[in-house]
Amino acid sequence: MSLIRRLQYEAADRLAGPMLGRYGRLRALARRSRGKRRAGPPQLQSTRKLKELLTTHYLAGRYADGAVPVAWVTSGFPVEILRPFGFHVVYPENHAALCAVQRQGVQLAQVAEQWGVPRDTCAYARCDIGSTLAQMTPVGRIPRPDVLLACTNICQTVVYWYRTLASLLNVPLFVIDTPYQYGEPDAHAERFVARQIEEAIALCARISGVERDDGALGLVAREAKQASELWGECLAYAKRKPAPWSGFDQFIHIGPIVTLRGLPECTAYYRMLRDELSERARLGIAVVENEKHRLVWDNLPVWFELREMSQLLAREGFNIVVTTYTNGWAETAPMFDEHDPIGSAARVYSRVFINRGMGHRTALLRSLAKEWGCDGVLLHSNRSCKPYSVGQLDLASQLTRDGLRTLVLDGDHLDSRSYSKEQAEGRLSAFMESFA
Amino acid sequence: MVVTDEAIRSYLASHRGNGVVLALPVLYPREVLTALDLCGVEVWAHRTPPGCCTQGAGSMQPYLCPTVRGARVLLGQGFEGAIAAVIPHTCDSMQGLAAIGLDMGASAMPVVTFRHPRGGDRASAREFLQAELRAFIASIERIAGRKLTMDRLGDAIELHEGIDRAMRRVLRMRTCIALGDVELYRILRKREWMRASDFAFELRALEQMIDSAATPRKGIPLMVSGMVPEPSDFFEAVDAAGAYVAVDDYAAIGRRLPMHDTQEAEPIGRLIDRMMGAAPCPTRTSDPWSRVRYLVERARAARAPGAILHTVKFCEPELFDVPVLRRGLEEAGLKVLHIETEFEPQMSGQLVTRIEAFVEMLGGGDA
Ligand code: SF4
Ligand code: SF4
Repeated sequence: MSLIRRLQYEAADRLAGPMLGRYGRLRALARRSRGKRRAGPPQLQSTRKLKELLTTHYLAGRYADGAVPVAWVTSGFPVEILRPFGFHVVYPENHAALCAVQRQGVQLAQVAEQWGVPRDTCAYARCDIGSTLAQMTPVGRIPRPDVLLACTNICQTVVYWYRTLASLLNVPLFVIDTPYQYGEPDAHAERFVARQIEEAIALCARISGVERDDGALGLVAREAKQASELWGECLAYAKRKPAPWSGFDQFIHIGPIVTLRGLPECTAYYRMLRDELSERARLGIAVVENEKHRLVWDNLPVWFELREMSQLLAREGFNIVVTTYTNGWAETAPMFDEHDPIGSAARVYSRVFINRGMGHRTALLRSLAKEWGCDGVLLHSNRSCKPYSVGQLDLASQLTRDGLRTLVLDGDHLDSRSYSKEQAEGRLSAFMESFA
Repeated sequence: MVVTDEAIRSYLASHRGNGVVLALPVLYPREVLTALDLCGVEVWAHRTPPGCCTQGAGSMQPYLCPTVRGARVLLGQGFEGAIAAVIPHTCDSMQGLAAIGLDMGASAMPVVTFRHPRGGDRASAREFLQAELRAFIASIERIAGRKLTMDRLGDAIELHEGIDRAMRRVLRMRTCIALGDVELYRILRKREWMRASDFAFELRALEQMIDSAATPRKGIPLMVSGMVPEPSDFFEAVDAAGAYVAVDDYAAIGRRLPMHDTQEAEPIGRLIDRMMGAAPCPTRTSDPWSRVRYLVERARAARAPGAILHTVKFCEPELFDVPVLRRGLEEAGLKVLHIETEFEPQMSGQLVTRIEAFVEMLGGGDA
């Protein structure tokens, strides 16, 4: 690792990133004083801090390779184990979502398609493989990894995706397999996961040249638990009627819990967000004026349509107040145990809802609908994401029998070519009319 | 060969007595079923009536593969009196199907799952596999109301090892067998639904047809890699184009064979060795480059100048490997054709033309 590179990395992380964030804040203030204010409730103050955090993360990333060890990891990987070794962590899924929000996802996916990845595969994977092939990214530069780390708790697709990356980048790949839990969690599967976490730790120690420190692992587990619980508290504020924030906001504010989990700045961020939401709730600020109906969202969002969809719903007094996706990062958090960082991580990461059977998912949707006071469920049938989408038609039937209104909405979380805006809006409008 | 085949039904009619188990692709411990005297009937391709998988309650999205959509229908309807359905963890879609079968009342029979460790052959994976096998055995024992002894399991493994050896030999020597691909595969695919002992008998007859002094087969030798040879007129199209399948890497057939005999003595250990030792396959998340090396070696041995990658529509495991396979095989000097089918009753004219053009490019087309 080079010293100059390390200095650049630290400078980006500690100085340039926060400065850019503050500059963004000033610009926003100036815009506001010029009267350019968007309609609806005031934007969450924390959004600026969010931008600062993510800007800093991506900016530091530009100088990370050569300065510190770099790992690319899947969103469900037990990232806590990397922290004591000083890894800079890149989340290709988060990056792909960012590309989608900026409407660059399809262009990058097409690069992968031209290279030979067929279109009937996950669009996150195609976007990321395309970005790697073309070395194109809206964040300037993604650091080259020393290792790729994938965990099967979200899907098996990540193994195919990361194997492709491993062969393109010629770097090692380590997979933590979290066997799917059909019924109750089983001990032999979680033992297997714990053993693999141990193996991954040994690999990280080898790559970073830093010795394993169990005390540090415990502290990170505590930090991750705190942040996840704070995230859970934030989500719970949407139980208030009217809700002070929406599922669409949650999709945006999920960034740090995915990418910075286990770091103190992540915990601090969610404390700030929690306090702001608490204040909003106290003042009775509603994110949707005249909130009439509250909905659960299932599956990833349609990233490139977030604003349009939220406005369409809000116009009719509909609010998505909770989502299975954003809840995923709060659901298993209480199981983190600083005194047993490996065993508890095995439980936390094996039991994420998308790695659980349909019985669990049905119960989860029912309880989210009940606790958040929803009368309907929107199930995004996501062409790109088979693990999340298989079974949604059965789920919809079950929830309808339970007395909830449901809509299965065809779409794609990234690939706008697989999404018909007119059709989706037409179906959403008809769905909302059915509540009349 | 779709499961409505009369041959399967009439075979099962006389063998149903001991119990039929429906088995879904790809790899599961079929030796256990044999040891418990159960007839495992595999369903790789069940053609669903038009529209049945796209509408109404309890159905599947049209962007899921036809294997899973078809299997869903069979699970719901029941199948030839099957007492259970075995659903291995082959891919995300198959895992989802098992979850629906278990929890959403979508299966007319008990569902038994089987999870492969993903991420490579390592000590932790073997330990997991051992526990998974024991859990699988316990579930099947419970449903069948029979007890498995290690002796019986050992015998069943012996039987399947013999079958695997014979299958490997038949596939290796296939140019010395005076049978066209259509007929050859009709026999080989009986393994999907026959009792192992009956299939071993059929295979012996096939082995006896090996004549190493025979004039080698005419036509261009091809390597074919994919999930399952459906529609079955695929072989007719290959044959009509002037080629034949010299290397089989279908997940339903050659790819499931362990590459070597196991050295283990204890039955569970042997099962683990056999599963871990099967040819590289994306459904078990094998590294695509190890797949390339394996395929190139086999193509070279069979002097095949070209490879057809025959994938099933919407099959992510296979589709992700296509770019690497294509590059790796082309770098090794093979020409590659990628085709995709969806269990349609017949190959489309367009696909047939593409196969013809491919074989012609390889220097054939005169047969
Ligand atoms: S979008 Fe779905 S298929 Fe793609 S990586 Fe995420 S969980 Fe896997
Ligand atoms: S997606 Fe592929 S591996 Fe999975 S069930 Fe379908 S055909 Fe088989």
